[in-house]
Amino acid sequence: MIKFTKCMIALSISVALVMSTLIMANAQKKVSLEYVFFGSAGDIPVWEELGRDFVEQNPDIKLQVTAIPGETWGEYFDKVIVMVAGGTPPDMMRVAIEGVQLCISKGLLLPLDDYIERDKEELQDYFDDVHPRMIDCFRWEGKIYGLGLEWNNMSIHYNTELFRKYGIDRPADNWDKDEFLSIAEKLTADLDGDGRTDQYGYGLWNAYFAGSMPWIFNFGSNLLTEDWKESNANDPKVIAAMQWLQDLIWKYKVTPAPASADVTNLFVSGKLGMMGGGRWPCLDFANAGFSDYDILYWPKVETQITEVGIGTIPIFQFSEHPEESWKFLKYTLGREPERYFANLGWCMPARRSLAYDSDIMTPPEHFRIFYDSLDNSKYVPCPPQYNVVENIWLRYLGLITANEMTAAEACQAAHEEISEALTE
Amino acid sequence: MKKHMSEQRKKEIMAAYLFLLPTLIGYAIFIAGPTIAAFTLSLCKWDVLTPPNFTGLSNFRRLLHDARFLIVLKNTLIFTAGAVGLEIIIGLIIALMINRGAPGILRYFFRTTYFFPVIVSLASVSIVWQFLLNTDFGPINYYLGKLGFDRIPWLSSSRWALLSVIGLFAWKNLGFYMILFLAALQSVPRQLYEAAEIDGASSWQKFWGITLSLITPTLFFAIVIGLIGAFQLFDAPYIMTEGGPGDATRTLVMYIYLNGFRFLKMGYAVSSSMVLLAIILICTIFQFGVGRKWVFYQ
Repeated sequence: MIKFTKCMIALSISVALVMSTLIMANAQKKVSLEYVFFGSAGDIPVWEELGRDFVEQNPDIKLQVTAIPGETWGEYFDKVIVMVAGGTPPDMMRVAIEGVQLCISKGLLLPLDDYIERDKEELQDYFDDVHPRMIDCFRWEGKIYGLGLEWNNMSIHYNTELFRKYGIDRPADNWDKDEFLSIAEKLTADLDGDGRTDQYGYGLWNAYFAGSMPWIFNFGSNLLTEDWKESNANDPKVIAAMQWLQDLIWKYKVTPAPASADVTNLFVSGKLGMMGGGRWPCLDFANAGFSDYDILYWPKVETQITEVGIGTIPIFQFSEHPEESWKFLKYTLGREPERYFANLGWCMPARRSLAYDSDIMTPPEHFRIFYDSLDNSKYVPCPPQYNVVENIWLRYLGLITANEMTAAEACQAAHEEISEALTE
Repeated sequence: MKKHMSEQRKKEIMAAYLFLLPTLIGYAIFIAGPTIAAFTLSLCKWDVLTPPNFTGLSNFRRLLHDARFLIVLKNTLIFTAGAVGLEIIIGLIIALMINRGAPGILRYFFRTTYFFPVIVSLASVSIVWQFLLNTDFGPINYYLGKLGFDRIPWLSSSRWALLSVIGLFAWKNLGFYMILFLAALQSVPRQLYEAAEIDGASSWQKFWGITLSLITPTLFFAIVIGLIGAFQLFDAPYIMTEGGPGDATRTLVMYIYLNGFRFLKMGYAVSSSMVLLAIILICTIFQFGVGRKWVFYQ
């Protein structure tokens, strides 16, 4: 009897050992994909929820989401590059157009042409539903490094309540900068009669994408040449655009100095009549319970072009799991994940069908302007040296808006520094 | 007997080294090693992603002709002099006021109130002060307006931005120096003041001859620590002004960060940090040298 018991115990232990070994071996087969994005730790559940179905459909894949905070895209890319240099590169990262050429030029991204060709039938629904601009910006020397997942443009957001209060009709789509200025002046007011302005007509971001670039484009120019290889900062039209911004603050006094302006908060609290932005402020508006706004095309100067930036999830060259990473990328481009993403309100969905869906996109009432503007749009200039160019330009933009340098002097100085940076 | 003592001595020495070993290893790995590596990198061109390329003293030669480097160096020196001066002078004044026989509960209240900013993170207070100093919508300009003053562009003007950062830094840290000086003041023997009063010394003579003389060791410590901390400022100007307008509030450490982690010129950034190290070292040695003349140890 005792002998039998000992045998049973030994057998049970053996079975348990074998089972646990099998379980561990199976667990080790699970692929861990690391995905990083520009945002705060509070946004991690959003991406985990997005990837929930993907993980369920692919039980051999574990998705690890990491947030990288920062003030600008440049800061985000710096941190990702440090991760790569430190030997801990992620498999995938969310990247906007601002960082794509930077990453490609450093040899960080995997070309996707072979994967696209192999799975083109599966992706045909996506290609049929997106504007070509969603893909063109990720082409580099004949290869494709990304497929547009989401994007933002620059429109004018205006406070509909203030417009009503001051008897201002919604301008026509082809309104110009003179009408813009006229409206901004009507909206600028000293509300308590103390001789100081308490409400401004327009809020200006001290930012690369959201601040100066839309105006430079519509003054008929660009900060860099069209191939992004040389500086164009001392172009008279760029100088004219910067002079215009300086005048808005110091001559017409319809804009607070950007250093003192938290544009979104001021707009929500009714202290700004108009502000520039894509879809991303709409999320902040919704969180603040603010819905008295609508959007307009950017006012025409010499042209009426929309500035756009496209986001994607490229695959790192160093990823040990490119096939699994490609699976996740394809998944995010699907209709339902895109719908989930669009409902968040951070940005515009790449898919046209979702961008015209009023259930997702309202407010604002004229949301169709977002996607319609793509036909007459230009990418934000993002050379491989984007992090340097952005830093230089913001420094001089700050001096222009602080009225400490003339637009001509600042643009010339920026031109010299940017020219040097682009040759390094 | 001697042979036995020698073996015993050897064992003691071995035990001492074994006890020191963890510290020495830590020092080698975390201090000496990185310092040597940094010095080596300062002689290289390195973009973080590719191996470093030895270039000799080219980074240092470039620093001499870098107009931005000279601007940020000037900003740092002005900031350091201003912030440390304010911290120590105001900290000492407040310590003197609190030490003048105030009731215990009041003394406790003022000590706590003035020390409170010290324990709050600089990043947090920078965000708050950024709002307070807002030109158009901040409460400080609002109340200045009520007093008839024009709005001051605290953070959007080159003239005011650096002063604002100096003011914030001094405000945040003066509580620490107040506590230091308070402790020093309370260690001054009361008999010296009584003797001075008997001899007919004025308040100023008592302060200069007794108080200040006897707290010079604390003053010396405060100046050394204050300068070392101020030279390494990063948080406040990074959050409040991002170094702007232009480079008006950009400090040397911010410039090092910019070159190293934004422009990926790590070799150049490290060479700037070597210059900062040299400046702090020279300042500290100078202070120790001059301190022999004015610091009085009881």
